[in-house]
Amino acid sequence: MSYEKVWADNQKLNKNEISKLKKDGLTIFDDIPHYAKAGFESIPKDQYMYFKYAGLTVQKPQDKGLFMLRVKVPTGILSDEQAVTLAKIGHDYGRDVLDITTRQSIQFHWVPLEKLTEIFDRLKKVDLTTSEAEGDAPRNVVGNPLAGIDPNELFDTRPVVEEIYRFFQDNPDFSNLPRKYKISVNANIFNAGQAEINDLAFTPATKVIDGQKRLGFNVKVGGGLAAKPYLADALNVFVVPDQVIKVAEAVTTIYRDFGYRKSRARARLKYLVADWGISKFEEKVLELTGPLPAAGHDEISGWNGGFFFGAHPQKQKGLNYIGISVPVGRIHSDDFLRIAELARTYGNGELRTVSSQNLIIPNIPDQVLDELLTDNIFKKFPIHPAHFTGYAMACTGDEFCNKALTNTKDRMEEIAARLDREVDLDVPVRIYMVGCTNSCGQRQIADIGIQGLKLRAENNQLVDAYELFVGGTLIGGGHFNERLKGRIRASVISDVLKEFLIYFKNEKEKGETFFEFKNRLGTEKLQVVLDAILENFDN
Amino acid sequence: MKLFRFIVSTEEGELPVIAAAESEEAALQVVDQEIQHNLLIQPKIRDVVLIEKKGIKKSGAGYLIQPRKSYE
Repeated sequence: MSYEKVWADNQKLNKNEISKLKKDGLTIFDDIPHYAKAGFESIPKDQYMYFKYAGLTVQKPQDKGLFMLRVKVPTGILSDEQAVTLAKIGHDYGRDVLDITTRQSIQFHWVPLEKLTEIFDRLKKVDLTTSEAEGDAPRNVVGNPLAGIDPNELFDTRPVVEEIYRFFQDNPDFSNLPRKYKISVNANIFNAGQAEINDLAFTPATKVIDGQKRLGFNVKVGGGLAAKPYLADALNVFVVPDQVIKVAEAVTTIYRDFGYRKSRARARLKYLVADWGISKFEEKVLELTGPLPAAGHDEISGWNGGFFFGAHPQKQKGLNYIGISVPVGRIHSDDFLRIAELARTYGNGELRTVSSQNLIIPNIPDQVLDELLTDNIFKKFPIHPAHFTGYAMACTGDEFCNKALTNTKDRMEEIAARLDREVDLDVPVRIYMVGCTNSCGQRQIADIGIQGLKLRAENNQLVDAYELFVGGTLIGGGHFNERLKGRIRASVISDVLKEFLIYFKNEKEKGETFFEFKNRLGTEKLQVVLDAILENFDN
Repeated sequence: MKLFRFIVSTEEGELPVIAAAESEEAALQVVDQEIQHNLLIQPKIRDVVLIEKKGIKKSGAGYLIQPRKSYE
């Protein structure tokens, strides 16, 4: 370790911070083999927080010795052997289930304590890790899942992602941050890296320097969703690819040394940026990096929501990628393995995870593309999914999460399937469901967000219910969706949504998206529509 | 023990109610008790919803009570 913990003596620290000063989070990897031998009961509860640094969360119910385990997949790119390893881990230790997360990671559930070291060994052999997939450290670096093959990218970001990942991964200089820390690196012009909801984001930009047009990045800092969402602010700097690491190190150092450690509720970078203001933050960054050119021309020209369905030509002539729908990101290990086998047989073995919880098989030659698409797996995981199932997302929900109040994944799938059967639209509608006020399902940027709660029923029992939010986007710097009044019981949520979307269908203009429709009509009008619908139901 | 954040909707508006209890059901009873105890004239309640819960650690737990913003 080559830095001084400047916060150690000069501010009141929360309990986690005091623990982290005594023992670094990464040391949990030394402890896990001992706990595995001694049994789950041997783990003091005050040590649970350290498991996060190994990408582990004690799974609900908390006394069964089972874990959720998260594996990092930088910018979503998996090699053949990595994909196969993940499928086999799901089969051998995770009850055959893999979840693709909104940060392009892979999660397993029901993982027993005593199997963790075996799993770590398997992952290490294929250069994958769970380390810092959770905890107060740099999380998975997200980015363009089409990096290197994308006709719509300014340049290939794989080397930049690799450099950032290797620099921060298990780096003891940055393993004790105030809170989680999320980096996005993307040069896709449709904002595939979802810059505005990350702590630090590099976005595609160009600038003429010394008479030469240079390709690089603009930079945004301080974004994040959670219960108090905040869209990232732009620094007035332009960064060429080989300077990215210098800027990332500077921003992360500032966060490490000046980020708040008194209250965990105020520890994310967004609070520091908000308090300092973007100008002061920028001055501090430039103190560490030295002078940088002013921001370049922003090359972002819209937002694709992270959806890449269908078969499309790559920038390499004669090669194609296919975007596959994985409803709410949950996939059986056998199916994941089958898709990995197809990637090996027809492509180069690579498989890519997408922030919309879906998959991409890249590098399919023209001559075998049609043959690949005849495989039965695409009946289950289509490349042209229906407009609701294909564009639905959900957090983990109360099945595993201790914070969630309601089921999410199963219910979202049911709702989307019904809407696909009964509402025929000319545009997709992105519906994201979450089970609490947090943002693991990115509810705030959905066309229609559904947030779970519990409603008191006539018999005085609490029943699952939901609230609707409309009009979220990351277009134009982003806008969080807005809550409509009215709590909707789980028993009628799909009926209500169906009626709401039939109204959209009947009143929309041809090709008009839900976001455009909401902006044209206004939230107040949609409230009137929902009120009228709810009157017709026993809600 | 957990801390539960409820919103009680009445004809006059929304009442935030925080309850500490072992379960959601027990928390709901706390909500009823607090409404009955604290309001001389009982409001006409439209609905009661639980919107958030968190564990109470040794250092405590709490919620900031403020009107919800449109995106919350």
